[in-house]
This record gives sequence, C-alpha cells and structure tokens, in this order.
Amino acid sequence: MKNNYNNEKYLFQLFINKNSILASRSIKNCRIIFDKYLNKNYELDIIDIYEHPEKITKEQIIAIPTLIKKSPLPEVRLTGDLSDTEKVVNELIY
Amino acid sequence: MKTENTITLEQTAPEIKPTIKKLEKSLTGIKGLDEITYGGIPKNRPTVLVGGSGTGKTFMSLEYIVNGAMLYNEPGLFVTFEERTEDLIVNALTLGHDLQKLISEKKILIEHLNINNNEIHEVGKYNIDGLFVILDQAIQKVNAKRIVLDSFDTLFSNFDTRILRSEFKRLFFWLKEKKVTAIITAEIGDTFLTRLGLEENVADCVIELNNRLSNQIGTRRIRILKYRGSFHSNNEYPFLIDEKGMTVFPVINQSIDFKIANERISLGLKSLDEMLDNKGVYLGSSILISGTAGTGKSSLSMTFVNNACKSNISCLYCAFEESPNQIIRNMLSIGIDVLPLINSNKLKFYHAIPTLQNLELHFMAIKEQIEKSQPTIIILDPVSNLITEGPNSDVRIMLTQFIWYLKTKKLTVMFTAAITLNSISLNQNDEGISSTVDTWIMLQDIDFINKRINTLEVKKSRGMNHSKQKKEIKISSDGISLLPMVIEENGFPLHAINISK
Repeated sequence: MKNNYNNEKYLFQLFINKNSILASRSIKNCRIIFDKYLNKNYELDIIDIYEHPEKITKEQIIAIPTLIKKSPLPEVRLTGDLSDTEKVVNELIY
Repeated sequence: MKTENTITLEQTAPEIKPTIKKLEKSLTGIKGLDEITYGGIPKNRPTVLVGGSGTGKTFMSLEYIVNGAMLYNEPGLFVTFEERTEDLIVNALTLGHDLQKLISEKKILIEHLNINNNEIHEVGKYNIDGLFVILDQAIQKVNAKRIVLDSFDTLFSNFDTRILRSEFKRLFFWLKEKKVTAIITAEIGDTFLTRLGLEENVADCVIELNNRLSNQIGTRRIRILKYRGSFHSNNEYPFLIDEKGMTVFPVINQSIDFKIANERISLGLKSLDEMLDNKGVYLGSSILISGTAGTGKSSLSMTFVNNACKSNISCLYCAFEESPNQIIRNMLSIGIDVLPLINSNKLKFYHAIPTLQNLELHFMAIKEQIEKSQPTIIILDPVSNLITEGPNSDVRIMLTQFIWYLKTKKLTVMFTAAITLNSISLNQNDEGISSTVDTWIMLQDIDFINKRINTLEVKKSRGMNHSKQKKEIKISSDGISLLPMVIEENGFPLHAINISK
C-alpha cells in the first residue's frame, strides 16, 4: 500500500443508480476488492443518485457508477462497474 | 404580360404556408432563422447544431436561450462543458446580452459541467444516468422550457465510442420525455453523426453552420440539413453575428399582401418621363440604370433624387464609388445643388468602400439606415462595385433578395450598374440582375470617327407602354437633356457603329 504510509483510513464514495443492474455489480466488486486488499481499513459510502441528486450535481458526475477515492489524497475517480479488477487495484491502491 | 408574371409569382410562392403548422415549433427569435425554418425548431424535441469551430454554434444557441427568456417567456438552461460561466457572461455582454440580469431574475440558468479527461478511468460498463440527474435538477431550478448542451463533443470526449451511440439515443429520448426543446451543439461534422446512425434515427432537426472564405472574404452560413415533419429551405444562407445578435440574411418578408402602388413618380426629367407613358415610373418599383463609365448613370440618378427631394420625398443615396463630398462637387457642374437637400434632411447618404466588408454587411448597414431614416427612394450607385467582391452567383441571389426586401418595404429603388449588352453575353448573371428589375434604362456610348455620342433607351418597363426609341443624352451645366437621334447626312451607316464595351 504505497500511497498510504500513515495507515490512513480509506474513504470511498460510490455513486449508483440502485435500480440498475450495474449498481449491484459494482457494489459487489467493490466489497471483494476492498476486503481483499484493504484489510477492512476502509469506509464505503454508497449514494443513490436519485435519492441525493444534489450530491451528484456538486461532484459533477455524468457516468454511473462512479467510485471516488476521497482519502487518502489525491482524489481518484473510477467509472464503470469495477469489473476490471486489475485496473481498479492499480488506480486506487498501488 | 410582365406584370401578370410578377403577380402570379407573388401569389404562388408562399403557398407552402398552410401545410406547415402540423408540427409544433419553438420560435428562435433569431431574425431570418424562423423564416427559413417556417416557424422555428421542433418544439419539445432535440435539434442538433453542427459546425466547425468559430462558426457561431455557442452564440446561436445562447441567442435561442436569451430570446426564449426575453421574448417568449420561456426560461432556459444553458449547459456548458467548455466555457466557464463567467467567460460566457462576458462574451455574451460584448454581443449585447446581459446574462447576469437574466440569471438573477431566474429566467436563465447557466450550468458549467467541468469534464476533465484525465480524471476519468474506465473500469467496466457504465451509463450516463448522472447527467440526467444533473440536468433534471437544473431544469427544475428555473422550470426550463429550453435547454442547450454545448457541446456534445466535449461531453462525450472521454467516453468509449461503443457506449456513445446508445447513450446519445437515451439522452435524446430523455429530453423528449422532459418536454424541453433542446439544442445540442457538435463540432464534429455531419458525417460523424451519419456514421453513428444518429442523424437518421434520432435527430429530428439538424442544422449546420459553416464559415467559408471566398475571394478572401469570410462569410458564415447556415443550412438546415434535416427537418423531420416540416418544410424547410434547402438553401444555404449567410448570417451575421454582431452587437444586435444573430441575423440570418436575408430577412425574408413572407407577406404577399403588400399593396402594389399605382401612383407614379417622375424621374426628374420631363423628356424621360415622356418615354415612360408620360408619367414616370411606379412608386415602389425597381429601376436599373445600366451603362459604361461616363454615360451619365450617376447624373441621371441624382436628377431623380433632386426632383424627389424638392417635392418633399425623402431619399437615401448609397454611394459605393464616390464620397458624398465628391458627389456634391460633381453635381454642381451639371447644375444640381445637393447641399440644400442634405441640409433639409431630405437626402441621406450612406457611403462605404465596397471591399471593406462583405455584401451582406453592406446590405445590413443599408437596412439599418432605412429603418432609421424611413426613405421613400433608395439609390444604390453602383451595384457593380459590390459585385466585384463576391462570386457572381451569390451576389445575384442576394441582390434579388435585397430588391425583394426593398419592395416589401414599398421602397422605390434605383441602382446603377456597368452592365452592357456585351457583358450580358459574357456573363449570364448580369442578365439575371436586369431581369429582376421593373424598369431598365440602358445607356450606351456610340463611337463615330470624330465624336462619341451617348444614347438612352428604355429597355423595359413593366406595366406601361414605354417608348422604344433611342435618344441622344446630353449632359451640360444645365443638367440632362434628351434629344432625338439625328443621323447626319454624311453619317455612317448603322452597322458601322461600334458599341463599346
């Protein structure tokens, strides 16, 4: 975990449309990857875009699902159902 | 015969009108555009606006939003993916729109969506539901009826082309469901849209803007590529963007019920009026005076103006060759004092160097003058100078349309041109110009061995029994006089006469 020397907790936001099949898939993929690589040292905030439209306007997210790594910095955004595990791990953790 | 032709033309041309009203349309408020689309863009449907960079897409769509808010009481949403809101406000201000005011009055909302390429990493499948949520929120904020997405390319620049097609379609259907009239701009050419099958399947209306250079003068043009369920003009029209907004040229007046005057007006020369039924020309008609240099075109038109002004008719003289001061001096030599006419406000001058700007700009400026001073007579001296600066075909169409515009304004227009029978045989377009006018007075010079005489004849004059005689025209310090042609006893036979170019 090269980016995280201080053992800081990972904070993620996952924007989904919960009526979409992409939503369940992305949540599942998230859990699998994070549980495996982050030792449960993370917090995942799942936000439904129709329940919290103001949040998506603020973050200006067009494509859904989008995963944002809020902490540790820098902020990283991943777009898609997170099925490309290798890329997710590369972008977020290592 | 000729008059019959013109009347049938006037009656048949706008007959397209009744079949149009089936589709609900949204007025753009852009001068000229609502005419060529017969009432605006399709209401509650998306319109795609394509064109290269710098063709005026952003401005046209902004104009649509602003006009909606100001003229039609329809609030608008402008979503920009490129320019920042502040920049847009500043840009709009230089073009005469106070966006800040409209924003504070909640008539307009500008939403800047910053889409940064580098921020997005694709990790699997996705869709653009987020955009719908953002748009939905923004639409609700001002209760928008009109929406602009500027531009499509930026919006989708970072997305996989595979999802582009399906998502673009979804966006279109979503917009239709929302019952908003949308303009989506795209810098990509129409071939791109066609490749994706979007143009055929999704877009109801596709408008193209372009900016072409011809003879070093750049002109922006607009064309409606497609308009499902509606008539539209297939032509390409030039348009202008200035501090008064966007204007598609010409502003075609579709009304046919303009009254045709039966009144006549003197050309200021008794002997010339005699050749025209003894009454002169019709008010509101167009008169062409053609002839080579030095045959007296300007003198003849100034004689007309002089007489009209003295009988309290206001005139606008558009000089493209001489400056007003030059004209004043030169006219004194034939006994016409122009200064008092100017001082009494009866005569106004429009003077411009032809090559300074393109033809549309000249016509726009002249139109402005017409609105301002409301003249009865307008002189264009000479139009051949304007013709030098554009391809002839463009000019002819534009001139014809401009004459039409002047007619609907009930203006009597006289223009001079260096058209001769020789030039017509060389250039068919010249004939086009002369065939659109009501009265054509032709001046020629005839060379003899020891002298040259100028002749005048009425080539045509619609709706009257005009003289077919050729007269000698003499210009002296007392003005113009027409004399019967005299073939001298030792004169040359007619076939030896050389008509100069």
